[in-house]
Amino acid sequence: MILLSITVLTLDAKDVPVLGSIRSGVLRAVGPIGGAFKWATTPVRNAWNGMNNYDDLQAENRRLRARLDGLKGKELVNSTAVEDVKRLQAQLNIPFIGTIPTQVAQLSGGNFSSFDDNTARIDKGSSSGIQVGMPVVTTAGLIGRIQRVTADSATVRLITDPDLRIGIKLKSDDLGAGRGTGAGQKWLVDQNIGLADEVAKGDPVLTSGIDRALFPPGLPIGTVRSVNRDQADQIQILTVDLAADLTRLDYVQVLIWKPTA
Amino acid sequence: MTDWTMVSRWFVVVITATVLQIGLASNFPVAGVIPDFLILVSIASGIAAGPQRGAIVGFWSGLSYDFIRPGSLGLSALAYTIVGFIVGSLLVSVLQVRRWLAAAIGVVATMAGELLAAVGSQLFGQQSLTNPRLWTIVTVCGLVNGALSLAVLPVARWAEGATAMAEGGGMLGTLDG
Repeated sequence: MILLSITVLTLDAKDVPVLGSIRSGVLRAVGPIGGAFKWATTPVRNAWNGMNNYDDLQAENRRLRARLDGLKGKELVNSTAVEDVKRLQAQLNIPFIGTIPTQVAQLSGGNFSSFDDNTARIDKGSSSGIQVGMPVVTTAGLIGRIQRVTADSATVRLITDPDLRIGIKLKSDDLGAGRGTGAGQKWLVDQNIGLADEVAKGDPVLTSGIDRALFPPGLPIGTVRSVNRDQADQIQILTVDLAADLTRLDYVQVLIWKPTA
Repeated sequence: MTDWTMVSRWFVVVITATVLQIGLASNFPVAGVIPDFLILVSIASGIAAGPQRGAIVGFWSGLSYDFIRPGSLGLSALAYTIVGFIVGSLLVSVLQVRRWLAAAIGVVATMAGELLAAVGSQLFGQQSLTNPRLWTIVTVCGLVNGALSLAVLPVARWAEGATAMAEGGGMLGTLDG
């Protein structure tokens, strides 16, 4: 059995197509099961999550109230129908991806293990032109890159993964590198931002797109929440609020773009 | 000779556990942790039917889990095979598994299995061992499975059916006290 397990591991590491097909088939089969359970257990699940995440719910309630107040103010300013249409159009178009072609995909299923919370699964794969390494975004910003692909599904490695180091560019044109520290944890820029570089709270953090970067330039990652000066290493460490809400992903766009070799 | 009734029963158990993992465990996280029902099946098979069956059922339940997860295929299969085998081996001379022992084995074996799987996936490039919530995940999965092991052990005994008695492992997995 151990030898059989190692054989399966080896075959999977070599990307043997038949295993990918079986996996796709299994995921296709279990998708409706997960959906049915989710639908059938909605009231109980909500109550359960309410009990388990009461503090989070309270915090989110406060955040939403604050946001609602802000939106009410904006609504007074932008109350005409024409402006509403403009806002809707802005939601439909993602300005930061420019002319890069995209493939819209939806998150399929959920995570079935707590060890997999730095990944997400989408319902489009190689048959839709998706390949390993392509960036994945929402209307808010970058969420990750494609890690594995089967014919009709793909796994996205989220930017919260500590091993996914991303080249970044600040408002001041300073270049650095950042990484996540796990799902729900801080996202840090911890390389190359010197003590003399100008950084302020709220500054946007974008992908740098410099030579051989994993992502094209200008994709929003988030905004600077705090700046800590590390005198020992003579750098500034930035904590970043991610632009995209990774806990509420639904539709995403895969950029049909590959990093240069 | 292969006992196909027993094989089909175990097949039903593994598939049911997989469905419950997809539908129930992922929708009802405990303290933010998704419980692991599949490892419990391999542990229960080791308790109920010894090391050989523990390894076989562990392999298939782990492989079943691997198919629905995004990581490397075969990692959980390897970890759960080892867990099922070791649990079965440790209990091979135990005639009666008391309730408290079954629960304790559920806790300890699940924690060991989760750590083993985390080591494996770390070797394959996933941030499992360095996951900041590693000990929370391992502990919660262990405690949940400890509580559930009392319910799953009779199911494992049912799946094993009369075979355990005929092969001399009849008392394994019998709950007492």
